[in-house]
Amino acid sequence: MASSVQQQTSSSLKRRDSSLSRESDVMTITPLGAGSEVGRSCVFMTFKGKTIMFDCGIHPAFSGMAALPYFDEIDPSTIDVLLVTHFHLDHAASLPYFLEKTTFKGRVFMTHATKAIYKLLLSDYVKVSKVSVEDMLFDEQDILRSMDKIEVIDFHQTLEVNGIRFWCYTAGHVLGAAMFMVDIAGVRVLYTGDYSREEDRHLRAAELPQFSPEVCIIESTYGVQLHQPRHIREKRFTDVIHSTVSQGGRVLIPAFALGRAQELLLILDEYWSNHPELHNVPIYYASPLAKRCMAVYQTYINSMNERIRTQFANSNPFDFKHISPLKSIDEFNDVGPSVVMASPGSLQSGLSRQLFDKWCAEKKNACVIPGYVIEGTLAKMIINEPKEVTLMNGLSAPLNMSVHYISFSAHADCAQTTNFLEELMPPNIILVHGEANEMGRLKQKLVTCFAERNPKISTPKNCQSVEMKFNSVKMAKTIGKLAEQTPENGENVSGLLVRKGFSYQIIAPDDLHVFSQLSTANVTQRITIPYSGAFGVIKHRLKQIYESVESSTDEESGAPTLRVHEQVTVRQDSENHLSLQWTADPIGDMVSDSIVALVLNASREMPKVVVETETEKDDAEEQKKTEKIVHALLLNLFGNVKYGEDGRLVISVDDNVAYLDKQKGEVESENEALKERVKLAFKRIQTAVKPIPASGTGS
Amino acid sequence: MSIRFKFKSVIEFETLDIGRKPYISIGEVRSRIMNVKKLDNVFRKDSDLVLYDAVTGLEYGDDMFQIPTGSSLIVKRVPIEVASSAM
Repeated sequence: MASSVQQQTSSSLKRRDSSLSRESDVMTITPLGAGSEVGRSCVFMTFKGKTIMFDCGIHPAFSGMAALPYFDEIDPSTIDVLLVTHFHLDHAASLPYFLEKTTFKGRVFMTHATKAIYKLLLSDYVKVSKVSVEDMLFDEQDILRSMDKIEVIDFHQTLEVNGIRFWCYTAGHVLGAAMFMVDIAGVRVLYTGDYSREEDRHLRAAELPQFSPEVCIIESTYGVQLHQPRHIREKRFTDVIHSTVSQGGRVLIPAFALGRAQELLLILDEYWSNHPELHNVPIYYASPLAKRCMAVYQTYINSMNERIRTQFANSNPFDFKHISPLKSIDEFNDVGPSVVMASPGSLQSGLSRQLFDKWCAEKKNACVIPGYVIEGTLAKMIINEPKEVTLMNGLSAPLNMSVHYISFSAHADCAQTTNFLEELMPPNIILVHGEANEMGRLKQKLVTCFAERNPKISTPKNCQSVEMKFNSVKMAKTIGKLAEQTPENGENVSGLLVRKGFSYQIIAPDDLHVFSQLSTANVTQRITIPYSGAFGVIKHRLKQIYESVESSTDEESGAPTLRVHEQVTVRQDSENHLSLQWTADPIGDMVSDSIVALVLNASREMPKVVVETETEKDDAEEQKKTEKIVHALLLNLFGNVKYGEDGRLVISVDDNVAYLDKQKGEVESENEALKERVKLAFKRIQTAVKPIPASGTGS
Repeated sequence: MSIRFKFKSVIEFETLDIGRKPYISIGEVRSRIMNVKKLDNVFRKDSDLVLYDAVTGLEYGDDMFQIPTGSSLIVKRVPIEVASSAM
């Protein structure tokens, strides 16, 4: 008995500790790829036991396993949700591998356009990358299987998975690209993926989220650089191409079949239409999936901007008049000047590489690089115009063709980034998707720009975690009746918690229809039970259980009724039936359940029960009986219970002594724990000895 | 003679042939796995491997340590900390 006191104290302490550590207030964000680099975007986030992964890409400069994000750093089976922003290889290409080969068992989400184009782009990638079968991370089959597991989300649609709420905004950049906002327990994180705040020929500009996030994971591809205005860029592009083909040269534009390619084709088609002298120079759009890519692109015209949608009303703007599809190099009739747009954009292999190898030695030719080029790829290398390059077959060749880098890659530049962050002003900023130097410069700029508000800006490397602590205290306002009096510290406030968006209110149930669109309703239930015995028997039995049983007669039918516990009305409908009626609530339901059980049991017993006359309860006898019971129970609990001089009970456990006043229920003791224990025990004994009070709520 | 290995995030084990001797050193295993997975033949080597015993979970710190044929290993691919010049 002595040890049980200590046990209770220590076990209650243990319980308190474990509930605090169960849900951590610390959010951890770790880039597994695209941390201080561009390529293999993959950001891992965990907060309050929920885990999310943003994007799942490959690094175009590597092949095989080296191209993957550092998945080994984390446990894929713990991820609840994987959100893919857009179909570019460096954001989505390791998804088939991740779904098929790792322990991941969560759910994958992306926008409709992203899913459709992802399938085509990855099939193109598998065909185009000339690596041996063992090196391939996945094949066509894996891609097809992954399609079944990918779920779609619409722009501005909010989904909830396992307590994680998320929705997406338009990001511009490419068709279907999204920025994801995730809300866990009221803390919001925005992951931009790749975005652009500038509208172009067919895409919308990125939206500005209406809610400010607590954390913003933002791309920093262009660091502190500023883009040239769009029309200047387009003029440079068309000028280079025009002059090259006028002199009889060929122009190679390495770009992936889908994405920025469509924007460039729109520019070229328009330019060609305006320059009849070029009509005998063919433009080719080369990809094994050329036609299918265009078909998919045309399906999602509704995600594009106003301008192109109105154009679509008259004629299909993607139905190019001067551009022909080209499936492979064998089909290509290389006679005279031409413009060929071929994949991949990195020039690592495939059709664009084959053409490059063919044309690089001729100085009349030109290569226009239209997108951001990643460190380590051939495309990046030739921008510096080296004297020689290595061909696919291993031989060297001189690089005589002119190389021009004119980026249409639709990323935010320094001005757009600063402006975006200024509008949102998140307290935590994490820069990803940028080369280390550029990113460092951007960080410096942002630190000086936002010096007053002082956000925490991080530039983590791969597998380097950023930890942020969040206050998990939530504010809820009481309004209406509950707000009439300010409660004291320690007082109980009870009402209904109503959430509107991100704000919480506590309202009394009666006020509900005043302050919200919700209202309370009452449900009246009635049950009919077959019963052919005497009504008196039921009454007698009920009186044995419940204190408050009132008999009366029903006004309409004249049948005898009982009102039990002020909740349930029992009425004898006929000789063979009883009906119960009550207003549905937890206590009423319980009372009616017990009456039903009682009635059914009563009708089962065959011999008729004689109604006994109730014996007079002798008050003094009752008192004595109660005292004996109390004493016995206390003895059982504490072992040493004696009567003290002043009429109080003396309870001793080991060296601790407590004094219990039975009349008032007060306990005095030097040992706090023992005092509490005795108090609680006595309270419980008291309630057990007395009958159930009529009020129902009980102390 | 062979050993089994599996990357930490992956479901299935793979086999690595270690030749005729019934044992192999950890350093040798590491370079062979990097070779097989083409992690060493890149313009910029940015990954390294950390090897663990699949049964006990303990890391194999010593490159000279020999493991017998039939062992199972867990491999963790980690980024190499590049001593960069800039920020």
